[in-house]
Amino acid sequence: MALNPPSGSRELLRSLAPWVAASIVLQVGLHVLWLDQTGSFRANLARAAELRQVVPEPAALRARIASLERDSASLVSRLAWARGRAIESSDPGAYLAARLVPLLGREGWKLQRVRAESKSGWATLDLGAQADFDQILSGLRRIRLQSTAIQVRRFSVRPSEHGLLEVELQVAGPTGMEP
Amino acid sequence: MDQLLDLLGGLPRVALSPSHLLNGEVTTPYGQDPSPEAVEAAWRDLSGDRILPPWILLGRRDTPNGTVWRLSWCPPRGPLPASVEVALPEGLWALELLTGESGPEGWHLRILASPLGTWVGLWEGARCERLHGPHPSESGGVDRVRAIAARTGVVPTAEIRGVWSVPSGQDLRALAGSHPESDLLPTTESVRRGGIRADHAAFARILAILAAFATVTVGLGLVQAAAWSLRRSQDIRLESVQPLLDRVASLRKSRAVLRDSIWMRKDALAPNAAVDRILAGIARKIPDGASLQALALERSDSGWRVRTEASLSDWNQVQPFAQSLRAVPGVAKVVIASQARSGSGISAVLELEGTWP
Repeated sequence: MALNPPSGSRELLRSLAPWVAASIVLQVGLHVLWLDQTGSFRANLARAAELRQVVPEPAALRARIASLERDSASLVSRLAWARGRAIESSDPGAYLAARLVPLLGREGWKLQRVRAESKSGWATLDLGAQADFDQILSGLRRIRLQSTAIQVRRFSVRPSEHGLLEVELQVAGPTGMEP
Repeated sequence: MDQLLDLLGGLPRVALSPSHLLNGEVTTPYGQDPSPEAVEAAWRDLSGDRILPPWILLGRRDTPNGTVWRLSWCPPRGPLPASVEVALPEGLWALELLTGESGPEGWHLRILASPLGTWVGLWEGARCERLHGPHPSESGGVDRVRAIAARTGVVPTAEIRGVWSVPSGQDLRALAGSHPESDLLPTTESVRRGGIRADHAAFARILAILAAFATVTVGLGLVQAAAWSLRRSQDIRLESVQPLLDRVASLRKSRAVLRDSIWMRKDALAPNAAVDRILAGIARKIPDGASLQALALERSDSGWRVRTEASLSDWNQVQPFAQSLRAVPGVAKVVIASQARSGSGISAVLELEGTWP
């Protein structure tokens, strides 16, 4: 009374069904579900690794902020100082002349020619005068001590009549400009 | 677990079942195995028209008339197990264990105590002549077999005791495979149960495939969840420092604007031109009796240049005067451009260069 194996379509179905199921499961797993899972897994890992490397620590960021704030404060201070030294006027040339001409006159300079203009961010004062050497030095020192930024572009001295010196002076000062 | 693996492997379930042991013999031509027809004929001789039960081959003895096969018919005793595909008589396992024992060459008894009772077999050398059991007591079984042996003039000279062991599923399947004639189940029932078992095996295989699929999917899902958790933790960290990052970006932008503004106003940051100092420095170096006739100061490519015409009393004052001008702070270079007699004195043109103001 041996165990006789069944035959026919039922046996075929029994044999094939697991293979069919395995094939379907592998197709779904490999091409849809597991592919999506591994893709998501890899994407999340990569993003996490990237963020781990890129995102700085709060302490480092606070230190960076403190450093930037110090830099900004220093720059603000320097900018305020620069603004204070620039000529902030609607007519910078006239402003420079109005500031320096009386000053030099008080130092004894006998002004013979004054010309002021404003061009390309600069106010320029071009003047000719007569003065002795001490008056020239004193006037130039007064110009150097001005709080407004003033540069001497040209300066010449030559003898004149009555024992005085004839002075040719061109000074310029930057005018206020916004970047 | 073993049962599940057996099911997945499509292996039949085999169990032992109680049965009677009706000893008999079949003679076949020398060297031939007993055919079912011969066994059935022997059974008919013994019990008439009763259905041929399964049988156990006990042993063989070659005689001049042919090969005499000793066997035991095993009609089932009681209901057969419902959840098996093969039911073997208990005596077959007892015979298997007793056959494995070694004994003397002559007639002897082999005794096996089992949870079911005591099995007693009559052996001649390695050949089993009879098997009886299970007996409630060993002495009863031994006495009976000795009495049966005495009727044929056999006197067992020794008693060998075997050791009982519970058969494993693998043992039983091996036993069923080597003794297909011993299955207590009817053929139709075996086929029916085998079909059901095959159905269950196919279904179990499908379930196992689905379980493997689910296991892999869940495993990957766990890994996926772990990766998501890692990313989420980094996202949370990013969110926590986002205000700080925004603040850094804002400050950087603000600093860039401030730098641009300062760059545009760099001329206002430069100190005022100190022409008076270089002029005073030059004046202090003019020797007695000398004078500067003209002085011009202007910017050059590398800084400033002063060109002056000095009126000196004699030639010997020119070089010391030029040398003294080199000592004026900020003067990098002094060149005597020309020197010539002018009236009663000497006129020298000098050029000074430096990085003033």
